[in-house]
Amino acid sequence: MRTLFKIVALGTIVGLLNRCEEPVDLELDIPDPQIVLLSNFFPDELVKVQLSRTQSILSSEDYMPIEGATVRLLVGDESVEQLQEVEASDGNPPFYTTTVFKPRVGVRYTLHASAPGYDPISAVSSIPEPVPISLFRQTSLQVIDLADGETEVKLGFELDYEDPDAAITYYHLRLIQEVEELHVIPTIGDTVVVGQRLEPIIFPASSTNGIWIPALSRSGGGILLIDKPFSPLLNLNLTNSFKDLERPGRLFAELRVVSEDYYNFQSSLSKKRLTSGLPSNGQGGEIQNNVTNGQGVFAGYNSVLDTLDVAF
Amino acid sequence: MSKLKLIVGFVLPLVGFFPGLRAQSVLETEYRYSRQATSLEEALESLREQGAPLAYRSDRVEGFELPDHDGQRSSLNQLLDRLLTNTGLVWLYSEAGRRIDIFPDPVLRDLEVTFSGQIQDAVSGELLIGANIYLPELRIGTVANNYGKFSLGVTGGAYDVIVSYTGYASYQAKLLFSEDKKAIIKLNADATLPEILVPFYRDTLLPLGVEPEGDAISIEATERLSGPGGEADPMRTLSLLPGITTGADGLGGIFIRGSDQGQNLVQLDGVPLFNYGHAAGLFSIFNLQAIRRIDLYKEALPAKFGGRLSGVLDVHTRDGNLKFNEYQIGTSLGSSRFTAEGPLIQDTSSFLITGRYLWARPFIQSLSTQYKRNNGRAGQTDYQLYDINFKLNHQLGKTDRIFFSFFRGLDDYANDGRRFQNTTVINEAGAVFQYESLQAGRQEVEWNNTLAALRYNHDFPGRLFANLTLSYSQLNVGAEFVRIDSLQELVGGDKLGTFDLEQLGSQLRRIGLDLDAEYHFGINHRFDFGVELSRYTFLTNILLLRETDGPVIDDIEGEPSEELPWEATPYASLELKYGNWQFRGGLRAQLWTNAGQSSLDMLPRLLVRKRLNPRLDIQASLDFTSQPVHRLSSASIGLPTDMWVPSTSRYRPARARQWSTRARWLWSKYWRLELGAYARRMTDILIYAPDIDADQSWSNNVSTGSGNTSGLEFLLTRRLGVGRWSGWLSYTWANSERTFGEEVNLGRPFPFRFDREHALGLAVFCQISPRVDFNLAWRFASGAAYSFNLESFNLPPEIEEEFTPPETPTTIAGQRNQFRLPADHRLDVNFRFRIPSKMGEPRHQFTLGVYNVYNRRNPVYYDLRTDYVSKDGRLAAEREFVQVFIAPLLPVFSYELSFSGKKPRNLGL
Repeated sequence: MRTLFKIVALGTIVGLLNRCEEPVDLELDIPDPQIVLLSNFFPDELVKVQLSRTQSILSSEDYMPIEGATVRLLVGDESVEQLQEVEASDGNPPFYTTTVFKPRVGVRYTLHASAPGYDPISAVSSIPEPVPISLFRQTSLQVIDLADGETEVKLGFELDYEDPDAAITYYHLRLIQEVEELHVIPTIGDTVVVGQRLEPIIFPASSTNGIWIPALSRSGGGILLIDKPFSPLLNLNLTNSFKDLERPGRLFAELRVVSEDYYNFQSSLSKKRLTSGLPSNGQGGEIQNNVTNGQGVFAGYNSVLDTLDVAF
Repeated sequence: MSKLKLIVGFVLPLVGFFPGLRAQSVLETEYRYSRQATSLEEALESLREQGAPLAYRSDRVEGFELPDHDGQRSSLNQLLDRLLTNTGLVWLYSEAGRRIDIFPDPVLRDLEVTFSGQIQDAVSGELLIGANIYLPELRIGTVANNYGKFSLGVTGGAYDVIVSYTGYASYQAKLLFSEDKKAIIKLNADATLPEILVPFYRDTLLPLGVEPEGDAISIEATERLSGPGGEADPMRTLSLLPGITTGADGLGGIFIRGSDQGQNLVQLDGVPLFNYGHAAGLFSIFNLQAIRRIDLYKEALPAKFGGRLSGVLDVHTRDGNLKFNEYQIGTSLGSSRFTAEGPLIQDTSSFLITGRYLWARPFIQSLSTQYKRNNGRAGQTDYQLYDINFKLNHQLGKTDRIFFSFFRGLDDYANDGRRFQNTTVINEAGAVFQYESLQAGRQEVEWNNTLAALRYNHDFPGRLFANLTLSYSQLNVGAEFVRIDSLQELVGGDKLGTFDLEQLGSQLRRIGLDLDAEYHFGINHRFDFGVELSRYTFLTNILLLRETDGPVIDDIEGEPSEELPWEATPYASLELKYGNWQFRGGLRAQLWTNAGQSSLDMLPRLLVRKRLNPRLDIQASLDFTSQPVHRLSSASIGLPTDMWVPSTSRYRPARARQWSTRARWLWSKYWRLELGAYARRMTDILIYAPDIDADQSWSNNVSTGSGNTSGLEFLLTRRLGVGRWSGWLSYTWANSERTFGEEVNLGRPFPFRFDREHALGLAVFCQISPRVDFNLAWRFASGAAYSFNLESFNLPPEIEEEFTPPETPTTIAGQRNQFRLPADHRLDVNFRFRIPSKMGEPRHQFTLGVYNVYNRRNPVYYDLRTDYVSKDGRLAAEREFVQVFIAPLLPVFSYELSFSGKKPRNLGL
């Protein structure tokens, strides 16, 4: 009797404390696929656009580009150019580009795209005025030799820019580290610089005090800002490791002034990447986009560049 | 009576000689009433049969017991003087009618006296909170307060007094009210009268003011309804009442009228609790053996309750037996429990200690390992819980009493699981790739409540009760969730995947000093007033981390944030009763101060009730409420890790106003019908914004918004104690929605997560024999609202983040809570057996039954599970929805053994 009681009791407890799972067919009504548009454009450069489509949450397909679409760029009612399709090559997906037209600051552009089987989409954006960097200086430096010739460099610096007071301004601040490649002269033992490369600084996938990290590596890392969420200067400390026969060169700061749409898309995508699947997040948030009848972003930006010669 | 006696003795003889002679002859005639007469009525009837010219109304003379008498003959006037002593009746010889009229003393009618006292259990001395005191002739009454005390204004005279309490034999006696009267009334428990609810008295509704303000949740009903594994829980009973919903199998706690769990005030002995669930709400921390009374308030909130937007659950523990020691031990399939209580000083002080413990921890560990292995997973589940209640009660003289109560409860849950999957892919060129995927998760959650209260209770002369309470309440929550989703090509391939870490920690402490007083005046009016002072400490810490294989240049470390707000809330409430009208108006002034920023909310409460006839009354009420502490709930399943945060300069206290109306109709002697309607508007409520910032500050992660709830409620009750069958049927139609800022559902309204349009609750109790009863509960509720992401898109490979697995799509959030889970329903049945025992011998009670008889699988939530397969020569992810449910068909078993210490002889029964 006692054994029976124990078995029943334990079965009950384990049954209660272990969640039970079973696959279900929910027969959900999946919406028709939509066009996904990705395009960031810059003054005096050709406008490039990538089109793909949404899919069911249960789908196992990878990126699905849309080919054969009609893509037009308009200013007001006037079509300024129909974009040409560039076929996929070397593993790169197809894209659409203007062949002549280059956008200018302050003009509102409309992008319209249609493809068979999808609702046509449109999006509007413009390129904002640039904002100059007023200060970019080094505050500290620490070099630590690690094993196997590796070096860890901790660099502190300050940065400021002339944020206009009149309106909300959105920024994407990119930091690019120049890495010098060294060669040892065998007989002398000294080194010479034989090459340079640029590496964007990728911040940790998180945010601090409302400063968001863009999710897309094409954006080249960096941080997203609204006006000046710091006072009076932006103080940053970077820690970077360099392999043997490498040393840090200059540090470049690119301050992009971006449209609100650019900021919203990047930050919401970043948030989603950070938190989807976490227990406290539930469904997750919206990807904020500016594409009517579709997904994605069409956003202009402007930028200025400054350089810091790090004193080693 | 004395004045009239003077008239009779001295004035009447002066009226006239002959009439005086006649009167004298009548009054001097000797009589002897029957020796068998035991009541005044019988004695008078006996005299009348002998020819005494007595005239009286039988309802005026009934109910008086006759003092011991020797049956000696006496003159009629002497007999009447003796018989009518302490009855409030006088006699008068009427010359015209040549008779003696007996009637209530008219002098008494001009008196207004106070009837006050205390209602106790006759055996244990326990105070009976909420006992009804009723004077049917005057149609007035009142309710014993939280200390079993009452006070009532009574017009002078002799009246029947009826005192009743659930599960106790009623006390009924004729009492004379010629001056202020204090009484200690002792009721005897009567197992044959286990009323489930206290809806009505005899064949009429209880008079206005005699019913408790809230809806009493019967301990007896709760015990009989039982729960999963045999764990009886008041939340199970609550969920069968109209206006109350829960998550699947009670998960997530209770939701009163479309409000979130954290928007309800749950008090234990008058001290707010911030979490009342064990096992994520599967059952509550309330150990039934420690509970004396539970009252639910959905509307017409007394002014003394505040700090939350919605309903109130007011739970009172027992004080302990003042007469002799009693012990109970018991077990269910979930836990074991014990109770010990008894006097420290007989009739003066007592103690009560109860405890509950989950005894099967080592077995859970080993069996869960086996269970997971059988399901293709590795891992283990671990669980520990306990709770303990302790109470001391000491009487200081006749007017003072001191209580000390302590509660501590703890849950410690850990669960980890790992699932490896190997997939081989052969491409079109014949190359073979082997992949290993790992999907793993670990959840560790610990939460504990500590509560202590020191209460001093004093009766002032007159009709004033006061209560001073120093209390401490603390909730600690710590949680860590880890989730790993990785894929690796086994021969030199890259490992792709994510490692998620979420840590939540919060501590909430409240130190309170509360003064509550109630002053009774007039016949049946009442003035309540008091002040609550609270000092809070909030410590919160959130750490979210998603690690990948990408470069990381800094670590994120959570820094706990501390906030120390104050709250001061004076309140006052005036209740007046005139005939068939009852009015109550109250006001709370809630002052909240946090970091130098203050907010003041004036919160009126109004109640108007009208008794249309003895079987029907209607009421309307308006409640303004405010909530300065917010519970941030998980969006998915309502974990106990939900955090409490204070109002700040950025987020003001949430506010609500609710209109309610209710009609109660006593359909027949046994059936009662209750209909209600309500509408509530909430503003400045907080919710976690989606995609929480890994920033440590909670305040950057919330959105403010508003909510609307409305509904219709129906409750049909058949009282127990008459006939074999009893129970109730409830139905609720409800609607509850929320609207937040742009960051939540793009600012569009969406249904509340536990919005259930239709809800039915059926409870049936059948007394098969005095020793066996059968109990049945059936619940049905429309499916809760749920969010699904139905679409996703992939980013082009060239701009895909290098450390994000390419198979992870970017989901597109659909409308929040736009889907409905399947309807939630379940049938539970059990039999309860009581083994008879002789007086003083141990008593045994068993419950056997089945939980979820037809094995309904009510989903708690849906998960998206990914499997990797070889498809067209490449590795592909296959995804499917998985329904997660918690309680299939389960046995119900509980056993309880009760025994007593030596009982003193002078129990005063």
